[in-house]
Amino acid sequence: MKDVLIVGAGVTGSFIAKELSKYDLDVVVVERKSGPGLDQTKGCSGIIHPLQLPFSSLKSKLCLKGNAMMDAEAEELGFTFKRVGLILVATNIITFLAIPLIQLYFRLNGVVSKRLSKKKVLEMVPNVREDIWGGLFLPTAGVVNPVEMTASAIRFAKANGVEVHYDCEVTGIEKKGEGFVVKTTKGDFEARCVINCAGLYADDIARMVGYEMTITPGKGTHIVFAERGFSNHLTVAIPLKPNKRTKGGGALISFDGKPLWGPNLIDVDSKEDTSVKKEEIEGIIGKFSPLFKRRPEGVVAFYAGLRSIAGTDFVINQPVDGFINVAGIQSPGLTAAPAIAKMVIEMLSSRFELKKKKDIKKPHWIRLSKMDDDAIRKAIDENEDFGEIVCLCNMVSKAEIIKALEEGGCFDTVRHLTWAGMDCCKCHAEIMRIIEERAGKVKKEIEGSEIVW
Amino acid sequence: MVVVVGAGYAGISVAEKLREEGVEAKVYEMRGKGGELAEFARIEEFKEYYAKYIEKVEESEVEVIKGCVVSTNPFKVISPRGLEVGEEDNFFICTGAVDLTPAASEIYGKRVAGIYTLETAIRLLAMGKRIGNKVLVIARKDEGILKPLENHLADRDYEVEVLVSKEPAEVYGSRRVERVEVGGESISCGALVVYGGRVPFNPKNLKGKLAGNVVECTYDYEKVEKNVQSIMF
Repeated sequence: MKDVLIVGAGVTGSFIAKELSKYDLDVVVVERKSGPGLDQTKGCSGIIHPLQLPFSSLKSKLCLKGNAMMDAEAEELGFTFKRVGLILVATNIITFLAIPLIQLYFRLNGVVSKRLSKKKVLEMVPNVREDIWGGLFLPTAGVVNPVEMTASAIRFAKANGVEVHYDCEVTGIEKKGEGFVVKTTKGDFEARCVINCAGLYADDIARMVGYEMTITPGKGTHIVFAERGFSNHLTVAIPLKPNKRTKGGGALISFDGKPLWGPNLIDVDSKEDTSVKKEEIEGIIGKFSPLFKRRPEGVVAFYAGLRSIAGTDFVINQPVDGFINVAGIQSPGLTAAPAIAKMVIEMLSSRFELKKKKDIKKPHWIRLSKMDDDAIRKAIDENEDFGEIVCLCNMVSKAEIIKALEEGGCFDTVRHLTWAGMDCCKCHAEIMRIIEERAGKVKKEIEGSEIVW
Repeated sequence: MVVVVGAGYAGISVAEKLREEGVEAKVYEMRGKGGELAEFARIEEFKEYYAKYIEKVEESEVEVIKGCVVSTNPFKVISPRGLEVGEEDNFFICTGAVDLTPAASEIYGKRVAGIYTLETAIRLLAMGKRIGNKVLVIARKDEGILKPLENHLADRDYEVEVLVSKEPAEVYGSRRVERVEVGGESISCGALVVYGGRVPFNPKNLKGKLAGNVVECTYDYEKVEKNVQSIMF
């Protein structure tokens, strides 16, 4: 019998697995998709938020705690994290006059910010329109690649003994003795504890142990532009009236500096509805363009993700002894993930004698583009696949593609983890060829999504 | 020393011209000689359509060094042999063009498996791979390449429909493409090949004189040839 079974290898499940892997516990993760972080996680904006309102909510507390932990997490797990900062821009006199109050309110709740003159805002983001009034800078805001962040946590967990099963969907849970039998499409698992990190389907999983909850999907659409450096900070206009359900998105930037505009919030019926509508893209452009003198050049991609919404806050509870829900993890779930993991460990401490392992392994991801000349020479010397560049835009080698296949082996994981083919399609066919050569087939992200054969 | 980055049609033409003028050039290419023409040469219908250009690169005696120029200043080449770092200041950038992404080609809807740019589709077909059974090709502009593509797909037992249209399209499907709505019409298909046009493929660390797919990016090599000529003469 396993000690802990985690349902879902999204950012939440992966960070819990990572944290648990530091202890003497037998842990298994089951995931319905073919790699880590390919559902809600992949569809989010990749923003490490500086704060979340209302400050009294659980999600706000976990957001602040997770944000403060992020540098250490990035260092420990080896994922790329940049504190690019967020500029709240006052576009009219009303929001401009409100800045001192906003700043005070933030400070009383432990969030540092810096007032910016109009001149300073324009210096920091020259593309912002000249008729703005001023702004407020939140230096703790940052960006990550959510799939890379998640896969890094899973890699750490695996290196420290956690078992991970992909293409493995939970079909039922039965109570057995002091634990559970979890039935999946890849057979039965017995575990003393089950942690429900099933995202959009967390309600289905909770129902299997008799806990009633409803997760509703809230779609967020994004547009990615090609022009790096259009803005080097997240840029958001201060709204006249805050929306209770969403922070409202903004002119964000992606982990690699490309402008990333969005997300909106659209209620959809289906938990698989990640379709991008023309009017949504036009809506996003219409909403965020007025902040700037011009639009960023070149469109790279559109994508939509789904938030799993269970009321207004995160739902982290233990409705049945040994069964923990980590559900309704909508924004700012990515930011909160490390703090959620700590909270879950705390919840498990009454059940297990938590003893830290003596030898904790820190596997590191090798990125050719971040190496100096000597390191590149050494890497190619040891493995000539490092000398075969597949993606010229982001300088990704064949060796990195092959290494990424250890995390599930599908096209989307490989791209997000290595950053190959994230700018254009030039190397897509070559990536597919390498995946097929090594893994036998090329899936996009889940069984039934074969791209080439 | 002059360095030519890329050994496609433009790179080979530039190197030949330089040689005629008595200038020695080193030509680097990350894959094989011929660039995308080498891929076209593996598909019968394309080989015929691009015969003139394929012959030119195949017959050229220009020597090509396999290696990827990752930056021009400083000059760095990565290959399985290792990393070369040197000092060169005369570069011809002949890295060609790349297809616009599906998003830039106004393809909306689901991002499921089975959506390919024309370029990716051709590369996969050249490898002898299959991309579906029923293929819809949406081209935002009409170019000569569409005909040999259609013939090739039909010859390989694909059901194929080529649509030249400027209308935005929306993809539907759960795991793979199931149908595409375009111009008020719903077309059932298992794969969507998108051609929205091409843009120069000029990675940010490569600086030099541009040759090839510069003035107008296209699959039409008559225009590529004109671009090369205008730079060289």
